[in-house]
Amino acid sequence: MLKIKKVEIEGFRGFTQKTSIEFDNPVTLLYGGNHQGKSSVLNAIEWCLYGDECIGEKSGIRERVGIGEMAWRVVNDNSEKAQVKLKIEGEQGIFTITRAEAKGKGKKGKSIKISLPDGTEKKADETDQEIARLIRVSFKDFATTVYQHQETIHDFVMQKPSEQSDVMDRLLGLSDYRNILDGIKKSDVLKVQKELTEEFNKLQIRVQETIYIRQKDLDDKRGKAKEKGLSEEELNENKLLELAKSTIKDTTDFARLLGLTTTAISPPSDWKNTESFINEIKKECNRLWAESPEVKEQSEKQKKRSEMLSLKNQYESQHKHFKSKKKELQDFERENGNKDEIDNKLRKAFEEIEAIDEEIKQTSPKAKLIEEGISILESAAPSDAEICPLCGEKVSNLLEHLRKDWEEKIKAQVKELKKRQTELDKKKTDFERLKREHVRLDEDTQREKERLKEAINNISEFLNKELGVRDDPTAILYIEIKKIDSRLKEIEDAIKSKQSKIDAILEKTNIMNLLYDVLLLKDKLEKINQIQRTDEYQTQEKIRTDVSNLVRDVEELSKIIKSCMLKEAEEKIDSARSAIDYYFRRITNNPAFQKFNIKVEEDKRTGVNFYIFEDQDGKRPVPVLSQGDLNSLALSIFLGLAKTSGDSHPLGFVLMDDSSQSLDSQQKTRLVEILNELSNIKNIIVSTMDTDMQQLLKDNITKVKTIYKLSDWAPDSGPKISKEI
Amino acid sequence: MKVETLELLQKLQKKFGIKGTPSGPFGKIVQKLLALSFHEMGFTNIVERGVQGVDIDITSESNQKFAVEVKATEKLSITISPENVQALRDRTYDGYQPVIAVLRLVPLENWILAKVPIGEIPTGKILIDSLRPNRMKDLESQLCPKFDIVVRKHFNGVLNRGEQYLKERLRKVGIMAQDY
Repeated sequence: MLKIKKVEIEGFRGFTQKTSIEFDNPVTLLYGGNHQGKSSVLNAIEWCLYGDECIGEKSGIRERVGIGEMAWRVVNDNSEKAQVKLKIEGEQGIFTITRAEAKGKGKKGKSIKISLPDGTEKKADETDQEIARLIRVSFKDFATTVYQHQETIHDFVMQKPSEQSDVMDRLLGLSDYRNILDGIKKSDVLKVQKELTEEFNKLQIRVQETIYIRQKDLDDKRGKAKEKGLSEEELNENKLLELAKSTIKDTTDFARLLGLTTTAISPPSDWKNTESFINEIKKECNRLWAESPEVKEQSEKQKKRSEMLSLKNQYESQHKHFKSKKKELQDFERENGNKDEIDNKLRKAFEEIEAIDEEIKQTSPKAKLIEEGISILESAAPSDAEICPLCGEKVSNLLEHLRKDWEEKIKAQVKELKKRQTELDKKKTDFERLKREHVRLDEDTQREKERLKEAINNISEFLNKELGVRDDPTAILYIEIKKIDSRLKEIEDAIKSKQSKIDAILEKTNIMNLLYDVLLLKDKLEKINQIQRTDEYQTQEKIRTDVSNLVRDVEELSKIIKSCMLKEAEEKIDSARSAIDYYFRRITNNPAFQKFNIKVEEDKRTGVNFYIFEDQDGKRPVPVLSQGDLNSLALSIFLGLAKTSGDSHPLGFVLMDDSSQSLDSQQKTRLVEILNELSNIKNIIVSTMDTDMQQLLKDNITKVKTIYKLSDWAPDSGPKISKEI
Repeated sequence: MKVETLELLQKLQKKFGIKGTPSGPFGKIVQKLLALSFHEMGFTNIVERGVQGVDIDITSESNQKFAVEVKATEKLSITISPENVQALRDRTYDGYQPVIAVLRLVPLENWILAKVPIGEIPTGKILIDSLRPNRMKDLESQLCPKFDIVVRKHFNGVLNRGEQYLKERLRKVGIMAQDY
């Protein structure tokens, strides 16, 4: 059996200064308050034996999972290096294991060595092998049968009953299985498979939409092809090529009929070239048609006819305008007289007005003068209103004086003459207006006349014929158009039979176009069939199969892991069953439990282990167990496993960290009794903050014991350790 | 499955299927077309069941016997009922190996013939892709072109006369069609 003799700790977790703790006696008690470094001593032993195995997720210890600030740090915050030296005594002598880690140096900063009893020293890989050979216990088994971590008791007590199976797995050292199963669950390969399948399905939906559209087009073209007289069996390449050949012959015959020669057109080699062939044929037909003599003449005649019609319309329109203006002038003169007559009337009005003026002068020589004087002064500025317009002298109340003169002396004398004069002024104004109106009408008429002459000249030029005033351009043009129509009728009759030939050729090209479209759409649909033969399709098929295989393998693996986990749990429980039963009933001392049994079976829903605790009647006591009972159960499982594992590894010690967490004083007493029994076969190192427990251990352990008190921990100096024997 | 085959099947589905469900005469039509395809492939002792039991029994030239559960769907998954599994299990007592035949009625898909050990056939809704590890690829590659031909050959007959036409065809080629 291997026993720990001494541990030297420096820069490890709570320890800064180099500290030695000896374990010479069967029982060692480490006691002190919280955060005084008790657990660090046990951790140091574990770390020295297992290094990185006891850190992080793989350790199965939850408090050691975390990264960055949350990481479980080996090197003390105030130290650059952690070093733990462990002396273990075996039958051959003392083995010294030294493990060190420098802060921030990664792998390079880590070292391990072992000194064998014969003085040989082994380093690096050899050391790990030598340690494994020496202790012959895996970290998992160490954590379940040698080192009782605080966490296992705490979790068991605090977890919901539904989660106790998880803690049980950890108590039994099965967390690796749990971790792998969790990893499998998180990887969710089934989801990956679904996403992959759905992604491909999206492509299939797009392809289906494309097919639908093309299929609809194809049905439409098929229908039209059938309307053109093609049967379903004729919707093929042979028919298309056959039509192409016959079209070439038709075109050649058509050219001959027109007396022209054709450009050589080759038949298409396959259906894919028919589109350009059809265009060539159409182009050639248009060329032949355009070059045929009748069509040429027809085109010219139609052009000439169109121009004549335009000239005729132009002339007729202009003639209409001219006539309209001329009539307007005539109507005006009939009503108001011609230019000379209006001029005479105007002159006469002037003369009559002058005669009245003279008469007024003779009747009252001052009248004109006073009238004008009043008019000037009325419109003058107020400052000039008393200035005489004749002499320029200032005369007070001049305007008033003149008005008075006018009213009293002149007005009655010229009243009738003035009235007549006003009437004549109005007449004169009317005549002036009539004169202006006549001038405008005369100018408009002349302008329309010029335009009419221009229209006649255009006709004359077009017909190359002099047209005199006696000629009727409308009639002349009408006769010419009739002549053209007659010729056009002759041409039309002549080309009618030829037109039917070209129409037949063009109809054939339409059928070819339809057939080409049908073949093109069929080809596009066929290309979708070819997708399945492409490398890309085969690759996706392979990926989907590979993923399906992976899903199946993962499911299989998951089943195997669950089965192994169940089997290992069963084996461990079977081997420790009686010890667990004994320890549990012993610690709890509950008369209700005459027998305590643990069963494990597969959880039907999740497939993982499900633990059942039963009493002697097969009833399940867990819902009524107190925290102390649960603590006792966790301890019983550990102690049971520790006891029964005795034959499988040579470690002759157990490490117990804060084992009395929820125990009452009676339970603590009984636990100490059990530890006392256990100390017959193994050295026991107990860490506790519980003063009752400390006292119980002091008083009731019958073996020689060493007691260390850890206190006054400070960041830069670590704990103070005092030894009692 | 060729695009043309898919198009023809979709036309049959439109006429004989019940949208959104695998039931209706269309499912039985696909099953009978598959039975005819197996016949074209050289399988013998073919039994096609319209109502109870496994959908199709077939025997290969090398005397391998398969009991085939047929599923046609547009979806990504199929539903296998406990009755389906029981029917397949019953056939295993007569030496038949269970095969699940699935056809997704979408482009770029082919028949999947999956030979799954009877104890491993899941019930409920399963992803069609999960059958991939059990595919009988050689058989599938022989089946698909035959199925294309069979569908094209019998399309008009089925379209005009439905399942009855196929029953007559099955009998004519010596396939036992059980409708009870």
